[in-house]
Order: sequence, then structure tokens, then C-alpha cells
Amino acid sequence: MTGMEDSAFAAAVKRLLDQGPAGGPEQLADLVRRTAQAMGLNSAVVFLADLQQRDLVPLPGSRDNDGMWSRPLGIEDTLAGRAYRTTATQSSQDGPAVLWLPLVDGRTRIGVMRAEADEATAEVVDWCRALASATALLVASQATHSDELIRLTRSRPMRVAAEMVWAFLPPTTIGNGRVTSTGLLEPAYQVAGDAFDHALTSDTLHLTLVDAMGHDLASGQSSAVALAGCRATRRAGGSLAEIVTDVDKELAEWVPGRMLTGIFADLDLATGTLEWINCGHPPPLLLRGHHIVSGALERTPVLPLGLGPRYPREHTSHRFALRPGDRILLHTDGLTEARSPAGEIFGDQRLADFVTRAASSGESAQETARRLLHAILDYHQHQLRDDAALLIAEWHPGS
Amino acid sequence: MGTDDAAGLGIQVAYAAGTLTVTLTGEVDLDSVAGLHQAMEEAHAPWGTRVVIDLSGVAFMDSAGIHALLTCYELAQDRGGSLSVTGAHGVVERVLHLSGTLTLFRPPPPGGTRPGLN
Repeated sequence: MTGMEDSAFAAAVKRLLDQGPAGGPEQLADLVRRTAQAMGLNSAVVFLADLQQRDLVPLPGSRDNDGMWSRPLGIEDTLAGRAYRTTATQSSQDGPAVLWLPLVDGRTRIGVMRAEADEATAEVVDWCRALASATALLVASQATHSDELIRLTRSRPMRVAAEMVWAFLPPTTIGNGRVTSTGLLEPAYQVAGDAFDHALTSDTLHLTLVDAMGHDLASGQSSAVALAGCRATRRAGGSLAEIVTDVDKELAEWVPGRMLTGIFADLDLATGTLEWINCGHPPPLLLRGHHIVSGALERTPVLPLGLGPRYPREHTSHRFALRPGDRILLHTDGLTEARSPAGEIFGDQRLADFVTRAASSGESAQETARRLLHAILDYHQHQLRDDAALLIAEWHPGS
Repeated sequence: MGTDDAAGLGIQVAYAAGTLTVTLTGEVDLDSVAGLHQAMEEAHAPWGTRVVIDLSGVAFMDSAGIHALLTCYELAQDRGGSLSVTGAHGVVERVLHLSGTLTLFRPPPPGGTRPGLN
């Protein structure tokens, strides 16, 4: 390697961070390549995962010393994809050393970076990791305002209702040393009524999963009101019962004639106590070890939300003590009840089998969520009639 | 009297002694609302009629079906009556249970109304 001074490395990264936010994706591709070269690497190319996490798409204008990178790489079947799936650096040595580094924004995977060097010494790998971290920050910052970047990650136009739902969603994966939570939705370009939220305080993970009736803009409106209502009450310090009361009231007033089912939950990160209110929604599933503990979190639910004042409103919450390593899976009925073109439902058993297999292979919650939604889409031959949403939280204190 | 809606829901209604029995066959979903309401209207049942929805011939229902039943519940209440559900089994019973509506759709005790409902 070049034996570059730390100060030169710092200067290169500083220039990248200074100049990165200003341009669009094409400028970013160029800037990352030039930064890599200033660090003594041969090249660096940035790929972003598409919305459905099937492909890694190079930034426009991406090139290395051998030419342009313009074709997407499959997440399922390439070394690049392996870096994404495992969130771990992959390397190959076929001539110069090639490193594939995951790009991660907070805890959410967003793509990979291909770095090429004459030799992959430990120092070079460290520098590449630092470059990947800085690049991920820049991509995330551009994603808030660059339509070019958003367009790059989409393979087709999005319905208005789906645009609204995605705008309301938090990052798909969040976490800290004690807990990880990941959520996903399909069909990504057509979702309307399903949505999820998760958020952390220093001692609590909050989880919300909702399913608004119907598949139109009013359904998107309904789930958006539920998420906004939940956040407003939660951030003002409200309890689960107060969240449910407020969301119910807002829905009945602003999206009348509709109903919404959902689960609102808090996980105490110190004790592992899960407290939740189930408003007419399929029960949470408990995944312990490699198995779903049947019925562990099934309680009599209260009524769905938004029905209006003629219905009795209760907000009975339930509690359950998790063990370290337990996973909670919240889902909407679109995941299990939707039927294939042949009329057969995916079903609880298939879901249990899938999650059990995924757990025993040791893969991360976000990879399980990604593969599960692909399995559902494949099962329905990409013709989901209902939205399918999933939220998986793992309590791993002391990890 | 019987009808079949586009989605394949069969609706039979019969009125006797203050009770309107609505027997459904097929699948209850979002498209069922109009047909169900029409059938209840056309029965011209008197004020205060107890509506009983018989689901023994229904093999599939999702949460949209629950909403359809809730709109019928409201219609029955608006006419001074009540609505209960009978014959739910299998997936349908499970969906009713999961939606938290089983208690709501239980037949009222003889000669009284359920506590907590107005």
C-alpha cells in the first residue's frame, strides 16, 4: 500500500464530507472515487439497494480504471449481495484485491461499496471501512432531498398512497446494544393501509404495527393518522392506553367510516418486559430459540380503532417477560391470510416454518424480514391482494 | 329471498317473530357491504328487530368482512334492534376472535341489553 500518512487520510475524508452533501448522486460517485484514489486505492464504486432489496444499483456515472459500472448486481447471488445480506465485508483476490463493504446508515443497510486496491492489508481494510461509513452518511443525507437518488432505488412508479405511507415510515432498522428492531412492507409500490413504527428511548423500545382497512388513499391516510397520533402522544410522554385512546379519537373524527387494527407495544430494555395493547389485530408471535412458542402472546384483543363513539372503548394492556435472545414478530394478516392465485393461504404454519429456519441459520432480523417478504411475494406470484407488513424485534441485553 | 353478489356471497333472509335471520354462504369481504345492507333494507323488518347473521355457510372471511358485519351491527342498532352472529367456525371464528368482536356479536341475554353498550 501507499504508506499514506494519517493526516492525508483525514484530509481526504474531510474533503469528502465537506463536498459530498452539495451535489447529486453523480457528483457523489465521482467524489468517492477521487477520495479513494487520494487514499491510495485504485477505485471505489457505490451501489444502492433498490426499494425491494433485490438489486444493488451503481450510482450514475460510476467507473473504475477498467470502465463504467452501470448494471445492477443481484443481492441474492453475488459477492456484492453477500456483503449486503450479511452486513460483513467480503473480499476477492483475482489480480488486484477487491473488497465489498456494506453501507449502513445507523442500523439500516442501504447498499455496498466496491473498493479495489493493489493489496488488502489490515490498514487498507480499515481505511475502506472509514470511507464506506462516510459514504453511507452522505447517501443518507442526499436521500432526504435528491429525487435522482430516490429514482435510482425505484424500478417503477409508486402509487400515491404508497408514497404517503413510505414518507411516514421510520428507518427500517433501528437498535442499540440491547435491542434491534426491523420492519418491512410489501407490495412496496402499492402499499396503502399497512404501516409500522419503532422508536427508542434510553430504556424503552416502542413498536407499532397498523393495518388500515382497504387499499386506497383513504387507507394510507388512516395509517398515516394512526402513526402521527401515536407519535404525538408518545413523544408527549403518553402511555400505551393514552396512545390507543388518542389514535381512536383522531381516526373516528378525521377518517370516518374506516377501521384500523393494530398493536402498540413497549419493551423495557432493562427487564425485557413487553407490554402491549392489541386492537383487533393478529397476536404478536414469540420466537424463542429456534421455535415459535405457540399462543404465548395471544390474548383477547380489544376492538379495532376508528369505529366511533357508539362502541365501548377499552384499552386493556398485557405483559410478558421476555428472555434474552427472544424475538417478537408483529405482522398484518396480509402476511398469512392472503391467498395465492390458486386460492391457498400462506398461513401461520408456513410463517412459523420460515421464521424458524431463518433463526436456526443465524441470520439477522433484517435479513429474515427481507427474505420473508420475498417469499410471500413469490408465493403470490407478485400479485399481493392485500398489504403485508412485518416488524421483528430482538431483545439481546449484554450483547 | 336470496341474492348473490359479485364476489360470490349468497344472502338469504327470513323474518319470523321479531328476528331477522340473515344466512350467508361463500365469502364475506369489503364488497359484501352493499349487498348485506340491501338485503336488510328489503326485508322491511319492524323497529327493534333482532338480526341474527348465520355464518355457518361461510368458509372464509378477513378483516374487511369484520367491517362489513360492523356496518350491519350499526344498521340494526339504528333501527332500535340488535345484531348477533351465529354459526362461525374455523377461519371465520378465528378472525372474529382476533378482531376482538366476538363479545360484541354475542346474542344479548334474554330480555336485557349488554352492559357497556349504548
